[in-house]
Amino acid sequence: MIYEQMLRPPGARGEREFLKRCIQCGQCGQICPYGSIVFEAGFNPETFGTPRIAPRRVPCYLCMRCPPVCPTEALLPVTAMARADMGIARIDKSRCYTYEGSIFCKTCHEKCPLRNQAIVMEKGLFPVITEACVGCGVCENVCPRKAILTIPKARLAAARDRWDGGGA
Amino acid sequence: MGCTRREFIKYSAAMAALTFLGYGCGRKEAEATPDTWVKGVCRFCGTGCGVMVGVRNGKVAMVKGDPNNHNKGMLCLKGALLASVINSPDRLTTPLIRKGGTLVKATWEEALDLTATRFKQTLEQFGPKAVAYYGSGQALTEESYLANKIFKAGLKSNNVDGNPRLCMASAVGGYVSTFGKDEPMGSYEDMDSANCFFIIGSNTSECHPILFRRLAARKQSDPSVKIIVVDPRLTNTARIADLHLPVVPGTDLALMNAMAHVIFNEELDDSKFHGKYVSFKAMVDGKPVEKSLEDYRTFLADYTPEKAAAICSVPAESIVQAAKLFANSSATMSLWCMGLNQRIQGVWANNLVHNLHLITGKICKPGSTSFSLTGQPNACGGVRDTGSLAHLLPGGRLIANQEHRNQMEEIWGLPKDSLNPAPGLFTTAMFAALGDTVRAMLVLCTNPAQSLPNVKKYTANLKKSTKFLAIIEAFADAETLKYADVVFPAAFWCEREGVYGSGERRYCLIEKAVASPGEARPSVNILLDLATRMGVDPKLIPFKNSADIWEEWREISAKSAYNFKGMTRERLRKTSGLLWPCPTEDHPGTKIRYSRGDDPMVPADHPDKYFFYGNPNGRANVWLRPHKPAAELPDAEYPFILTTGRVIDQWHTGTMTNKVPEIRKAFPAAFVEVNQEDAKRLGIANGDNVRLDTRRGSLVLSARVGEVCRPGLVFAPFYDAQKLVNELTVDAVDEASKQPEFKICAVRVSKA
Amino acid sequence: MTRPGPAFWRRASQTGVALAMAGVPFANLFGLHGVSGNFLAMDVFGLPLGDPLAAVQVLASAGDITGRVALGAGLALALALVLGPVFCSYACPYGLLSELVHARSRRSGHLMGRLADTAVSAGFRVRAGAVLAGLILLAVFGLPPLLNLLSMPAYYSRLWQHVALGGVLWPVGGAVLMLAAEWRLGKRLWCGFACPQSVLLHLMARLNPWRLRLVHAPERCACAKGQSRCVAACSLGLDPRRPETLPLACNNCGDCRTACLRPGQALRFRLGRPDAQNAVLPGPEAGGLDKRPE
Repeated sequence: MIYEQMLRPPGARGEREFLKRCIQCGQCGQICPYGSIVFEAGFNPETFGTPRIAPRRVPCYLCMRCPPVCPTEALLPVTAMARADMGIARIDKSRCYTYEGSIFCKTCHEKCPLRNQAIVMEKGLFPVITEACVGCGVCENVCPRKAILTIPKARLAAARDRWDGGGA
Repeated sequence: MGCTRREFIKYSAAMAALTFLGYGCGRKEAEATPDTWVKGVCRFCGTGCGVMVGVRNGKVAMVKGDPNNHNKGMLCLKGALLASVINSPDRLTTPLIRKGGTLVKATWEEALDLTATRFKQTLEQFGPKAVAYYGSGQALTEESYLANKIFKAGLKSNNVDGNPRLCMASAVGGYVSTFGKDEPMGSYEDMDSANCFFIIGSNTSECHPILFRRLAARKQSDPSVKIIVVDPRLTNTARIADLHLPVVPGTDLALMNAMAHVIFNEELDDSKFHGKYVSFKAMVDGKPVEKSLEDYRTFLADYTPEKAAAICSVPAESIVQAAKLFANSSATMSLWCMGLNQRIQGVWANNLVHNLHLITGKICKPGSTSFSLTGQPNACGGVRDTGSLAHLLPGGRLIANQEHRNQMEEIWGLPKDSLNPAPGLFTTAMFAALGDTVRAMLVLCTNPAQSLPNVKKYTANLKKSTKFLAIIEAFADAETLKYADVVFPAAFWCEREGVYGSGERRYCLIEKAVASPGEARPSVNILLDLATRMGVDPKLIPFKNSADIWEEWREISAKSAYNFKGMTRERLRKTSGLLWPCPTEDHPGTKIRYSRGDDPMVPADHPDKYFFYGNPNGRANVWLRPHKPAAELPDAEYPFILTTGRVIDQWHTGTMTNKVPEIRKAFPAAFVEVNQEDAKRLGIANGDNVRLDTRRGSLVLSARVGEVCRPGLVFAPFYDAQKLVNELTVDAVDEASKQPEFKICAVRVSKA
Repeated sequence: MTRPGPAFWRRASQTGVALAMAGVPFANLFGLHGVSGNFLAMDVFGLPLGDPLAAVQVLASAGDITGRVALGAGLALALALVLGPVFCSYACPYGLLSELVHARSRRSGHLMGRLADTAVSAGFRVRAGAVLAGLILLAVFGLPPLLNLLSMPAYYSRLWQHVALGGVLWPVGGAVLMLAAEWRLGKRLWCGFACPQSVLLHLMARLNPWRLRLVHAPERCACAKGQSRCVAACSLGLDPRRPETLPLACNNCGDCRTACLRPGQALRFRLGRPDAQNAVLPGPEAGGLDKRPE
C-alpha cells in the first residue's frame, strides 16, 4: 500500500505495528517545536490522521520531544538522536553538485544533526551518508540541488523483503 | 506481509514520480542557458577562484568555474549561487539621504553635493585629520588605489584604512618584518608538490574550500603526504589531518617555538641555509637588535616540548611529532589565516611560522613555502599592495619614511614634502575618534556596524550627530545603513570592470558582464565625482574609468618590488590572471619569489640562489618572539573562551550570502557551538537557548552540542545581523599591526 | 432573577469543553503544553484521558496497551461506571451541536417524535454490532484502529489540531452532512444509531447497578395522557418513563427532568440500586402499569 512511503516521527515502530497503535491523538504534532509533523489527510482509512514528516517542507530536527508523549508507544520512548530510526537518506550522485564535479558543496554534511557520524566527508572531498543515518531529512531539506531523498524505514523494509524473494 | 508485484509497481511509480519532479526542476535549469559567458573572479574569499558568468537577456543567469584559472573550473556553493546575490531585489538603486531620522530617496546631485559640502566644511573647520576613509578588501584595486590617492594626495589626510586591518594586518606585519616585503612568496601550485602541510589557525575546509579540496586531493594522490592541523576545534579540516593539535587558544607561540626547539635539538635544521640567508633579530627596549644563532638557540632552550605541552594542553609527543614531520618532509607548506592573524600577538605568530621555514630551509622551493591565506578577494591586490592603509603608501612604502614619501610625491607630481608625514588612524582608532576628532567619513564596500570588534562601542559613535557618514554600498539591508547620513548605490561585482588580487599574488580581471540596476553607479565614478566636488586637484585624478586608473598604477608599480607592469588590461583580458612580479608584457608571471631564476626582481647574475631583497642585507629575519597569552583570558567570572569565525556557506556579515534562498534555508540563524562535556555539565541540550555574557555584551544563541570545540571553548559565527556576535568580542589590538583579537575573549556560558 | 439551573450548567459544560478543545492546539503552538491531544487521547497536566474504544482497539489489534492508555481509558470508563454516559451529555461537542440542531428543527416544526422501543434497541444493536465486528476484524487482520474514523468528538477536536498545524480535515464535511440530515429529519441519528464510542460507555454503566440513573415515580407524574412533557423534551426520542430502553441510549442529560411539570418530583436522578421507593415501575410482565401509548 502507498502508505508505506510515509516518513514517520522518530522512534516510530515498524509501519504495521505503528499503525496498530497510532490512535491519531495528535500529541506528537502538538509538541513538535518546529512544525515538522503533519497529519495525513488523504483517503486511505488506515493512515488517515497519522503523523508524518515531509523533509522538504520541514525536516525533523531530532529534538526527540515527541517519542515520550505518544500515549500508546506507537513511537517508542527513545531520547537518543541516534535511535530515531526513521529511515535513511540517499544522495542522488547524478544530481549532487559535488559528485557531478563542478561545485564543491557540503551543505548536507554541515547541517546533519549527526554530523561526522551519519554524513562524513570521505577524504574531505565527498559527502557520504553512512549506516548511522536515521533519516531525519535535514540534509534533504537543505540540499541546494534537491539531490537527496529520505527513504522511510517502511520502504526499506519492503525493499529488503523484495530482495528476499517476496517473503514476509 | 511482503511486497507484492502490485506494491512494487506502485513503489516504482511513486519513486519515478518523485525523481521526475526532481528532474523537472533540473530541466528548468537547462532551459536557462546563457547567451554569453564573461570571465571574472568570484566575489567571495581570498582564494580568488576564476569564474565564467553566464549572461542571459542582460542578467546573470548562472555562474560556473573558469577552467583556465587555478581552480580548474571548480567553485564552492557560494560562488556558484552568485546569480541570486547580484539579482537580489534588496539592491540599492537610488541614492539615499537621511532626513528627519529616516533614509529617503534622493538624486545623485543632492547626495554628491551634500557629501562633498560636508567634507569640505570639515576640512576647512578641522583640517585633514578630521576626514577619514574606510575601505575594503572587497573593493576593486582601482577603487582602493583611487580612494587612497584622493585622500592622501588630494586631501592630505592619512586617515585611510580598510577592513583588511581586521583580517590581514598581522600577516602584512609578519611578512614585512621577516622579509621586508609583503605577500607570500609561493603560490597555490605549491600545494601540488608539498609533502607536508602545516595548517595552523585556519579552518580551510570551511573558509577556503577550493584550496582545501586541492590539498585533500593531494593527500589522496600520494599517501605519504602528511597533514598537521593546529586548531582548538576539531574542524572538518582537522578531520583529514594525520596529526591534530587542539591547543588552548592563544598558545601557538609556545607551540611553534617548541617546534623550533625540537628541530634544532634533532639537528633537522638546515644550517647551510640559515647560515647564509637568515639574520636573527629581537626587540630590545622597543628597538630591533641583531642576534646570533647561539642567542636564538639559547632563547629556544626555554621552549622544551614539555613546557609548551603544559601551556598548550597537548601531549609533548605531538609537538615533537609535528616538528619532525615538518622538518623531515621533502617539501613543507604552511597555511594559516585568522587563527593567527586576529590576535594581539598576530605579527609574532606570523613570524614564528616563517621562522620554521627559514631554519629548515623549506622556503622558496616548489612545495616549500610559508603561505598566508587571505580572507577577502582583494585584500592583497586592492589594499595591501596599493598601500591603502593608514601607515602605508603604494608599493610597500611607509608614510613615516621620508624617502618613501618623496618617491610618491615625485610619482604623483606633488611638491616635495607635501604629503602628510604623520601616519593616520588605524581602523579601531578611526571609529573611536568618529564624532570627536574625526568628523566626516566615507565608507566603501564594507559593513563595520557588524564586523568591528566590541561593536557597540563604535556604533555609539556612529550614532553621534557630530559625525557625517557617507557609505557606498550595494545592499539595502547592510547593518551600517542604520547609521549613514548619505548612501550611494554601488555597482556590484561584474557590473563594472576591474581587478581583484587574490591571496596567491594573482591579479585577475573581472570583466563587465551586466549593467547595474536602477541608478547604481560604479564606485570609481562615485569617488571621482566626489573628489572633483571636494576640490581635489584634477591633475591628480585624470581618470575616466577603472582602466585609466589601472594604467597609472601599473606604471607606478614598476618602481617597487610589487612590479606588475607587464599586466596590461589587454593581457588580463586574454588570460585568467597573472602572478606578480610581472615586469614585462612577455613575462609569464612569478610562482616563487626571492629565488633567482624564478623571481624577476632577483637579478639573473645575483651570486646567491636566494635573495630577500626586501631587507637591506638581503637576508630574511628570524625573530626571537617569546610566548605571550591573549589579552583577555578566562577567569572565575568568565570561565570560557569565545572564538568567532565562519561557516562554509555564509560569508562574513551575510549581506550577500543571505540573499541566496538555498543558503538562507540551510543557515538561517547564528548558533553557538558548545563542547558536549561542557554542555552536559551546564545542562544544555542540542537546540537549547544558551546565554553568552562577556564584559561587553550579552547574547542568546541556539546551542549546537558536539565534539568540535575543545572543553572550555565556545564558537559562534558572525553572519547573522540579528545576532551581532561582535557585541561580545574584545577590541584589544596587536601593538604592531593594530589588528584586533577577534579570536579570543572571556565569556560566561549558561543555559538561557 | 432565576438562579441558573442544571440545564444551564450542562450547556456551560458542553460549551466550555468545546471551546477548550478548540483552544488547546493553539495553546500548544504558543508553547503551552500543559494540555495536549484530542478526544482520542489527551494529556491534562500529566493525567492521561482517552477514548476507551481507542484503547480497546489497540489492545485487540496489537495485543497490548501501555499503562498510560489503560489509565486514560480506565478513567473514562470509571466515570461512566459511576455517572453513566455523562461524556455524551456534558462533554461531547458533537452532542452539543446535535442538540442545538435538534432544538432548531423543533422550532422549525420538523417532524419529531418518540422512537419506538424497537428502534432504540435496534440502534444499540447496530452500534454494538459495529464495535464487535470492528474489533474482530482488527484482531484477525492486525488493522489500525479504524473505528476512530467513526468518532465524531474526535473529528471536532482534530479539526482544530489541523487548523493550528495546517491542513484540511475533509471528513468534517461528513459531520456537517450528518447534522444537516438530523436537522431535516428532526431526529438525532448519530448518537443512537451509529456512535461506536458510546457503546462502551453504556455497557460500562450497565455493569454497575449503583450507577447514576434517571428514576421515574409515576405516582407523582402529573402530565395528562398524550401530553408528557418529558417525552417531548427528550432530544434522543426516548420515553423517560420506560426503563427498558433507557440503559441503551439515555445519557443522563436531564432535559426531561427540567421539562417535567414538577421538576425533581416525578423524575429524579439517583445513585444506587433501584429499591421499592426509588423503583421504576416494573413492566407489564410484572403486573405493573401498561406502557402508555404516546
